[in-house]
Amino acid sequence: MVKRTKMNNKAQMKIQQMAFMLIAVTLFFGLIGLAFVGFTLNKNQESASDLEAKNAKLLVSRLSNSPEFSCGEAFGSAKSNCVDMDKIMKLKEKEEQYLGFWGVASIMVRKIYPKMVDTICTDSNYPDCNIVEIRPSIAARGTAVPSFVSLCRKASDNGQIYDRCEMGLLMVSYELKR
Amino acid sequence: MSFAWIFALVIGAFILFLAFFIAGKLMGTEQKVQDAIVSKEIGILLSPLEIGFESGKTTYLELPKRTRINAECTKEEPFGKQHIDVSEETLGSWSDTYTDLAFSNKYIFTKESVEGKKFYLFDLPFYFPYKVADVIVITSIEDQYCFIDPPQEVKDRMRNLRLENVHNASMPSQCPAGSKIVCFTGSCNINVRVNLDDYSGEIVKVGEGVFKVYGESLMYAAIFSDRQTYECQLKRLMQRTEKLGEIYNEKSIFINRQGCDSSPGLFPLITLASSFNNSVDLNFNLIDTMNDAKYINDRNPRCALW
Repeated sequence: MVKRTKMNNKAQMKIQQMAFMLIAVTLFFGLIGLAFVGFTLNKNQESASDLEAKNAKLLVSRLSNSPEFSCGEAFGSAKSNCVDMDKIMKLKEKEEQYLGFWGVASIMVRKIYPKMVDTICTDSNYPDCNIVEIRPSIAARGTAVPSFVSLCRKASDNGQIYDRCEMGLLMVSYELKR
Repeated sequence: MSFAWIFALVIGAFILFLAFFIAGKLMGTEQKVQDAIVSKEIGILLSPLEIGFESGKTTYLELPKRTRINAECTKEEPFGKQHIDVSEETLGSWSDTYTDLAFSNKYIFTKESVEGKKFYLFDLPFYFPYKVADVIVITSIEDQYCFIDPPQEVKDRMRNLRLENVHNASMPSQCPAGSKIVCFTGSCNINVRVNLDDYSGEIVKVGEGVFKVYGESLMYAAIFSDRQTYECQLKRLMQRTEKLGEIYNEKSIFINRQGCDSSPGLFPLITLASSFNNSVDLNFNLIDTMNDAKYINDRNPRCALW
């Protein structure tokens, strides 16, 4: 009788050891798994941010030649890196239609010469302003990538219409995924 | 056999099964991540092509593994979408991927799915009458084309594009085996019937029917793409024509205050572009309306809108 009780105790002990061991092994692998998933997610977020940055850098260098921005032949012969200010003032009003069109958080055009106090352009103060902001994304504004462009528009002096081009920056912001 | 042994064997087998299962799942996920990255990279690399100042250049895309590019097009409002999916061939089977990477500002004309290790990408501008977009054509080195006695303009363009999968020949028997034969007179796989002044006309493909075209870019787009892709991308191009027309229309009102009377009467073009359904609508009425707008814009260069 005593021997049988001893055997039962020994078996129970073994089962308990095994159960603790299993819990320990499961926890160990679980922690390794969590660390691995965290590392992978972090790596993927970095990749996504790098790709966004790459997209913004490539886009900003060419965006001024996009039909919605480019001067075309409206100011004489076709020009590279020339933004039609009259056109983007109208594009700005349609930013909801262009939501997600270029895959960036925001696009800003800033006149840098001649210098003037920062003023956001509206229909009423144009062309006496220097910033046009187009938000083709609902994302928060992120890191900006700039590119120098010429900003051209139609102007008039004593009834004479002429083309006026000024120096500006085209800035594309992308969202940081980190 | 004692209980401890049986228990250890059962649990051991379970742990091994779990390990293999998780490893398999992780490998699959990693493959999907890689495919998604390649898809996005391709999309990003296409940006300079889409909005480049210089068009008519070929870019090569060489990938380490045999790759399948699925360029699906959807035409929802306002601009439709260009979806790019990439799957790689590993040990004879294609990775199963659906990354749903979509771009609104790209127009890729190709077969629904192109396979190979080397791809040729070239872009040509589409004007209607203002610049609407650069259309991108993708072909694989595995898809060979043979142009029979093409006109000089086509020969020159092909020489500049340097597509290694496009051959020139004076008769079909000189073409490489398995190549698609493109004729400018007579009858073969792909029959090009266009007026080379404005590249308007049609392309008749055996088994796919008639593709109506206007402009050089659409002619090449129709030669290298399938019907479904061509129709969808053409609809998307018209969607952008409509939206750009609205911007130019409002710009004409806007610059009126500087004394520029430059209304080119874009409403008829906007209306026709918005009701455009398929290439059958690329008819004389639409082309005449477009030419009228072009004429009015060009008549007054000081106040030109585009």
